[in-house]
Amino acid sequence: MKLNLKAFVSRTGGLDSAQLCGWSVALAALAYWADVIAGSHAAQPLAPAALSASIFGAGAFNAAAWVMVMTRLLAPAPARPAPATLAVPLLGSALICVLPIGIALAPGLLLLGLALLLHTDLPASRREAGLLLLGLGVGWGWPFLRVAHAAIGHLDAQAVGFIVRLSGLDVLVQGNIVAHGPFSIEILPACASSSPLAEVALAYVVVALYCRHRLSKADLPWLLASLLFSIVLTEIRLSLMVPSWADWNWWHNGPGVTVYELIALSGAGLFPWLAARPQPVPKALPA
Amino acid sequence: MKNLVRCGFLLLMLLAIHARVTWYRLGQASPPPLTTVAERLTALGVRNDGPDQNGLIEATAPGCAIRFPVGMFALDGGEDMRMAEFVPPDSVPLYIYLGKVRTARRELHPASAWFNANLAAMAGARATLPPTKLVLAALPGQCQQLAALNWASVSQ
Repeated sequence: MKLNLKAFVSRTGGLDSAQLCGWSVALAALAYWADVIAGSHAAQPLAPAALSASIFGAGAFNAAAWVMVMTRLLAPAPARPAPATLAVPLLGSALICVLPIGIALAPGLLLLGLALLLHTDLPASRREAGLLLLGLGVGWGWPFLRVAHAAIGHLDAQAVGFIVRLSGLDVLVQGNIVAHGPFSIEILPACASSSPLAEVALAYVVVALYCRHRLSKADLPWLLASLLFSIVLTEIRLSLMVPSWADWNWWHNGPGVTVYELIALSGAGLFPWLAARPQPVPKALPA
Repeated sequence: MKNLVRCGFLLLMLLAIHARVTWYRLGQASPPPLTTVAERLTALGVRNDGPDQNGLIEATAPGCAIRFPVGMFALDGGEDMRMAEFVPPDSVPLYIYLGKVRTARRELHPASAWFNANLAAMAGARATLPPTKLVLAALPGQCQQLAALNWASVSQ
């Protein structure tokens, strides 16, 4: 069956691009936060304490990204009829976002983000919203790639073994387990160095856009540096857990978590800030 | 027509909320998986004291004097190394997930069963959400007759 694009456009009732984007993003936001709240498994998920715990638990950069998406959608935009190339993916993402299976939200947000980002007719504000939604989609789907994180966990164990041996400790590495004498740690998918990378990438986009920086290919080295910083930090933290149960407990459950999170947060904010710095204008040489 | 599209979006929003409320209720109704496994083992005639602090069930069965371990491990492969250590020498491992029983982990392919069970729960054809862990029972090699029990019923 041939798709008649003109007929489809006329059937959307002349709903303009900005309105369609607004409705689609509102639905995605509703599904996102409803998933976050339902995923808290609190006995009373709508009680104020549980609600605030859910929102803060979702991560500061996720909340900031949604606020930035909304502010960009409220920016004025010319009223143009939504073409089928925009309307179809937006409606598709809306249907996907209805599904309550957690993982479904990831393709829904990715489709929505890509539709806004790649549609060159949309104003810059909508395309920036698309980039943020893309980051949110990747961030949402990232933990579901557990098989990949489990495989990375094996590589992490090798890296940790190498680092710890440099400090003179004798360790045995087997799969994702690093053993030091009778004590051993197991690097599970959530502990793998790949696990925080989606959040780091989202943090990069959020901070860069907050600094009113227009993202371009020149950001790629900064983004890669930010990801590398996160990987190295995770390997160091895992290595510090290996010597004994007390060390593991300090870095896994104790004050070490705060130390790690503060350093990770600094790194995630520093690289995009450095990329967004205004470049000094070179002084003109005298003729 | 414009209003129809807007109404469509409002309907989708209501559907999204309804689906998540149903999902949340299903999650709340699903009992702790290992406790359920212990109860199902008892129904099979396999005696046990329920899960211990380490999430392990020590079981004994009629006609077999040797105690054997039963545990639950993540479907995603993150606990596969621990799973390998869980099976004592001279034991026959049984990997059980949603009614499927295999003697090799690689033959289980639980992901599609998990996804289908989620869809069934969403459609109302299933009362609880599927567990995200498979059951591993390490049967003593000397008690081959235990393999004849209906192990599929342990993970439903």
